[in-house]
Amino acid sequence: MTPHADTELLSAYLDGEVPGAERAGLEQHLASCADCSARKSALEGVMLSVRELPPVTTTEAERLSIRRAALDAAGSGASVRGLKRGRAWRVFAATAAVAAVFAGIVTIVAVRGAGPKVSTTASAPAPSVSPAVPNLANDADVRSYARSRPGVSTFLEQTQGAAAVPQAPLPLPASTQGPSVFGQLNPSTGQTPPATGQTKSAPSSDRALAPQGSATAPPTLGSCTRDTVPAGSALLEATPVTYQGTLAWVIAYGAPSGSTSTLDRVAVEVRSQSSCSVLDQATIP
Amino acid sequence: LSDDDLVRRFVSDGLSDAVDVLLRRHQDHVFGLAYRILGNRADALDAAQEVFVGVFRKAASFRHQAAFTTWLYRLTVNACNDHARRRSRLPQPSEAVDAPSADDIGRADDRLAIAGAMRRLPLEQRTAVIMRDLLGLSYEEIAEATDTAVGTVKSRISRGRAALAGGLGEPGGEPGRGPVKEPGRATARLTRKKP
Repeated sequence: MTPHADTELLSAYLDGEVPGAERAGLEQHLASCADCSARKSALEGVMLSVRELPPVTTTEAERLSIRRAALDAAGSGASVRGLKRGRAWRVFAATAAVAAVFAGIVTIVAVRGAGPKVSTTASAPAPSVSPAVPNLANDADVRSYARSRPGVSTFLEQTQGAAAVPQAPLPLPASTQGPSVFGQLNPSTGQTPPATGQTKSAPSSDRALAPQGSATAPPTLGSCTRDTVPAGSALLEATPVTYQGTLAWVIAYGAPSGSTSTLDRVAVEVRSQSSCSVLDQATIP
Repeated sequence: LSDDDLVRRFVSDGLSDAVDVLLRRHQDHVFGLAYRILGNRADALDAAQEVFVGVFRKAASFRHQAAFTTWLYRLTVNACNDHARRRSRLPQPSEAVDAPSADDIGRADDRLAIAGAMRRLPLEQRTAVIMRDLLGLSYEEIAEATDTAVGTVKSRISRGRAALAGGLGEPGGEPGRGPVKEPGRATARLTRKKP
């Protein structure tokens, strides 16, 4: 009589990982041995149960957190040292707070230096909104601000019905050409984002302090939206705000929420005006 | 575009659509694998973040002869091992698992039982069983992703399954010796007929 099969052999057999000759011998034994055959069935039952575990669903918030960490790593490049694995965005948050202090100082200096006619609202595209640059502090602020923007509200009205159609990308708002405290936001310059290989705090403060026309100009909104809005999505709004004290863009775009190419949700990113780095993200379903 | 092409594009162009496409393709698998290994969403999210931070930090050093997914799973397994190790050093009990989620309460009664029994398996066995039965990877691929020999993978899967079946015992009728606490009940629940 052929020897009994141990569990390891049976398990490998069920996975198709037992080579031909050995397999034939085993199959012959299984046909005649009730004990081994029963153990094989038990293992098979377990396999099927595991296979039937439902797929784990990732929530939208979890996807955004993953994306935020990934973008931060992708944007900072492989050469950035000192950012601990997986803690990168937390370090970044602290850095952003420091940068915010710099940016705040620069705003005041720039506004004073440029005379009474220039204000931080000069770049606001819609004259009908409040004259002050909105000051946002968290996701909820970002969402409600984005909702209030005409491009976003129109998009939401259109997609709220059954037939949502892909939107053609809208032209960049006037703010990209308008004056700002940085005076560097002309998309035609094709300015690229800051080079990798530097820590985050240095470029943002350096650039913010750089005088107009300097070689270390901040990225334009044009290049910043290129980084932000994924292919297949449509830019809805890009407006200047202050986010936790930092001058920032709120960039809202229509994006598909599932596998379809239908744009049915609004993704909002808050990006630093000086470095285009991500300060916050939100979605409006 | 293949994953390989996207990684190349990211390495040459920096931040671009390639990042989002890679994320969209793989974030759910990575999160799902981490969740099944670690047993709770908070740790799984941390691990998934670490995985993609690793992907984009180390993209330039990715050897394209290996499959991208194998590399991705390897990063996931490593992140999960780190997490489990960190957790085991904490003073709290190591059974830090979420209450069964809506996912686990379904049509079948044994779904809860199997999900619970999985969580009681040793980490390496659980990881190997999940990679085999949920992801459908070959022993070879699992060996590569977990940095072990094929023979070790074989034995981990077999011991994991035996434990899930309530401790099968070896031929000769020895009683169960698996780590599952209530072998009788678990066996009754988990052992099923062929479809």
